[in-house]
Amino acid sequence: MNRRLLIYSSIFSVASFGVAAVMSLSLSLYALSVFLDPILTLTIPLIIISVGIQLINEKNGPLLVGLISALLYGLFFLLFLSATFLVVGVVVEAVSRKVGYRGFKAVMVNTTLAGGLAGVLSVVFGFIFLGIPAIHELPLLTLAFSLLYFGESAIMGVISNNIGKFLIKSGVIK
Amino acid sequence: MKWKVWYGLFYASCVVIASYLVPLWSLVISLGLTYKQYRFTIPEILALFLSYLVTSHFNPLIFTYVMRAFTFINVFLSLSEFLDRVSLVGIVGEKGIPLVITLSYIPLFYQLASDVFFYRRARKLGFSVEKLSRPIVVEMVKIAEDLNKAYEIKLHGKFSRRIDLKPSKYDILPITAGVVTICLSLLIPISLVK
Repeated sequence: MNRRLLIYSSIFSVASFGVAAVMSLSLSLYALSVFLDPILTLTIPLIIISVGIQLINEKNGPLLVGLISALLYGLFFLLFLSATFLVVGVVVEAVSRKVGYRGFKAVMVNTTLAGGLAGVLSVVFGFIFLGIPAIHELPLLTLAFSLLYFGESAIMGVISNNIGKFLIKSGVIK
Repeated sequence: MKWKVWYGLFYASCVVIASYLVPLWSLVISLGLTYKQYRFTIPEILALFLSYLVTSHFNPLIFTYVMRAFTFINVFLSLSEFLDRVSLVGIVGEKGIPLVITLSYIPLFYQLASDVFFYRRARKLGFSVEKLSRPIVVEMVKIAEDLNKAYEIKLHGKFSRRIDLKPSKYDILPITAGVVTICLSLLIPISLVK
């Protein structure tokens, strides 16, 4: 593990965490329902993480990003998000060793997997840590929101692929 | 107006401890000390009011967490505004550089984001997430590269620690704020949430 990897992944996870914290606090959606919080977290913070993985372009990059994010969320006592990011980091690391880090297919797979898993797992771990809410047709609702998270992450994957392409073409990322 | 590291840390730890006793007072005092970033303070007050209305309707206990989280953000903002970075590097040396950059980071990105939105309005461009996030992402990449470069080309030499404990007249503000926060939350425990 070299220093470049450590610096890049910590900068991108801190930036993503800051944006997510400010966004979700200012709208305080998570007060309403555990389902609504991931919708917000999967927009700009996910794009930042995805561009970060494209920039790092190395083994262990996604794992380290997940680990540092988990540490940050743990610092703020959001333990269900901490567990979520640990799992997401390990899974995306394993998949990205197969598909790579740059290019349309790789970015789409990585971002969709990371965002969708983060959304679903944060709901599941939220149930485990905070208790299951008393709502009718909970499985149906969970399924619908899971599909929504994966779809939203796919849209973010397209956007972050375009941003990554722009950065590589203009010579900002080497 | 710059605070030395010791007094900034004293203020931060007082406010954090008080926020676990009575969240209201530490929220009010930490909000007061972000007065230089008033463009951030006014939306924050609005968001607090809104989340009070929402949470008091659904689940009043959550508002304690909201107040605590806003307190942490306020402490971070006021430290990034007032902390004397020279004294920070003087104590911890090279290891303090990432910390200094993190502290300078949020005001920089806030400035950048408000500039981007200003030019969008001035040039009457549409709202496109991709176009708007480009300058911010480019700046983020640049900062990461600069930090990496700064570590690669650093000059090795003898580093002498300078510990300057003598408070200046500006350090009175964090000391008083910390003490007042602790005293208020011990003497007048008001909780908005039953």
